Amino acid sequence: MKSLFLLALRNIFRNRRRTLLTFFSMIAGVAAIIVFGGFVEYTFWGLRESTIKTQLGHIQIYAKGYTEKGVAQPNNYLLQHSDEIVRELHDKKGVQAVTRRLSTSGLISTGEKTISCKVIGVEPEKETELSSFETIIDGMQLDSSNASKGGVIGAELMKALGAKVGDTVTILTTTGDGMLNAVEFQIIGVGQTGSQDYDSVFVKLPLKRVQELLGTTAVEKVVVLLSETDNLNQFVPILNSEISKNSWNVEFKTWSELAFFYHKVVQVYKGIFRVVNIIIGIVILLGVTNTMSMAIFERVREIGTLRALGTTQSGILKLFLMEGLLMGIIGASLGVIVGIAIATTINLSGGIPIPPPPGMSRGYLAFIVTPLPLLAFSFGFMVLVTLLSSIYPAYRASRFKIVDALGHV
Amino acid sequence: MIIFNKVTKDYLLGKTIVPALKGVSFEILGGEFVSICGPSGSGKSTILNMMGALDNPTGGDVILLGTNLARLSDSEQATLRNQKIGFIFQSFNLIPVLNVFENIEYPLILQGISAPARKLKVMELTEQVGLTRFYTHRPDELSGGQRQRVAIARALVTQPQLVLADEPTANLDSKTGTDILDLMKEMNTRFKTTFVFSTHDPQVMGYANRVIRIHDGQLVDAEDVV
Repeated sequence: MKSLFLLALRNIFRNRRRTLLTFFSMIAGVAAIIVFGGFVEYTFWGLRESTIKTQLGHIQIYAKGYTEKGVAQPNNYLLQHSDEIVRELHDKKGVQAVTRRLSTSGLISTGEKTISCKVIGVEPEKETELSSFETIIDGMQLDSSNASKGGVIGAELMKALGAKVGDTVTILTTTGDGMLNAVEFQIIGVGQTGSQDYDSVFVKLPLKRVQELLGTTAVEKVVVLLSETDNLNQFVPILNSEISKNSWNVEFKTWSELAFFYHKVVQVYKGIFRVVNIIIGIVILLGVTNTMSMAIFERVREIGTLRALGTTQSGILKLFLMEGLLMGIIGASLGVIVGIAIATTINLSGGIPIPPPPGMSRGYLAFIVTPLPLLAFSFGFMVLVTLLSSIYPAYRASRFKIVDALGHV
Repeated sequence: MIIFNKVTKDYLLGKTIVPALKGVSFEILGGEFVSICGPSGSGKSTILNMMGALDNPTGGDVILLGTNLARLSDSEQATLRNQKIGFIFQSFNLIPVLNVFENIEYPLILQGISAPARKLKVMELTEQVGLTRFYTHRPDELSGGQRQRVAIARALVTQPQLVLADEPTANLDSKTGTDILDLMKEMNTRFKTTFVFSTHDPQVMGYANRVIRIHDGQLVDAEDVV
């Protein structure tokens, strides 16, 4: 085995220029997979975190039946004793913030223009934490100091209204009893979440004012924000045990169950990533097969000699497969190093500016992440492709007729 | 040692069948130093190939050490070649990426012999062919004569019962050729190894104690030189 390894290793480097060229294509392939894969991973991460930290939180807890019937009869499925839930959950391990929300739809008006909107009642003192991915492009974010003054509205909605920070607007909606009610407030900030659809409807007001508007003391949901998204799987059992321990009549959903847009984007990107991998795989497959075939063609007589000395057909097969495997391992390792180097260079130079994706109101700076699974995948993929490429040439070499091979010039 | 019994061999050239051997029969005994000679294309190499289990006859039997070679599987033939036969080629056929030591060692690796035992045998053979100084050299750093010495050492390192040499001196100048033949003869005497070599050079034939002449795929005669 050791001698097979040595022989294969030396054979790889006997035609240096050709081997280097093959390595270049393998390195380019692996690096491309890593950089593109790292970009995709970053995009997934960015979209996931921005979805969580602008709208959804990690977990939303509702009154039982809300997710099924709450859309039609929101007032019948409100959480009455949300204080207790907040109190019990806020100091649990991995929890960053627990906050309550109450939303309703209504009409927002400047006096001249009236547009439909989604009013969200939030707890101002926790808003900075929960909406850390929301950008305030004008004015300020809702917090405990300014809660009495007014609310924040979405950038697109602001544009449509033709209003500016400091303007007073009126919101008209119906209470739980079906009565019309209105509230007047001052626009203190303009927010951008990245999602164009959301930015063109949302109005954030302090929870108290929305409760007054709807004539209730209940809330629609309790939103839990964890310090790390990865902690979610550990938190769900804790939540379940709290629910049964306290006999809360509630149900909950995780961000993933609510993030339809995120899942669609992930699907599309994963599809693209797969296609890119297949193309790279085919290019490498053809390149390595070509290199190996050329190497074998040049070594026909040598193969005949090895056979004459007593090497079996399977011995020849193993030799060339070993060459393929070694080439794969060396090429893929170099590729991983180069991939990480390119990713680091891009990250250090400040990322790649990406224009707003479809449905998004702003572009973003993309960085390249290089998580271990991605590196392992690109390495394994390249080794496998190279090994596959060497099967046919190796098989051909093992089947040469010895006499013909020895007589080959 | 070797029995050829009415051996025929046909090659297919395009759509024409070309007979290379037309029923050749002879016997070679253990310890002989035999030359097979004839003009090029007469079938010398074909005979050597069949003796060495590199090729199978179209008809007739080739019996080596009591075994009918055609009845062996490909891997059995490979094992037989590795253990019982040594090969010396006209153009040396050393493995370019291996140095002198490793080239000589290769057949022993196939036999699964331990590294220390291999080293002992290789060093002994390297010394006997006079290449101790060169054992770390690659083939392309050696002269033709030195390369053929490596090939002889490689052929003999497994202590085979039969060494086959196809025109072993054809690519060497006459002085080096004579040296190589002397070396082969010496090995023949020392180890009692059977040597069969092909040539069309009358001077080389002179070294053999028996000459098998072949012409147009048929035996002309067999004669004892000594």
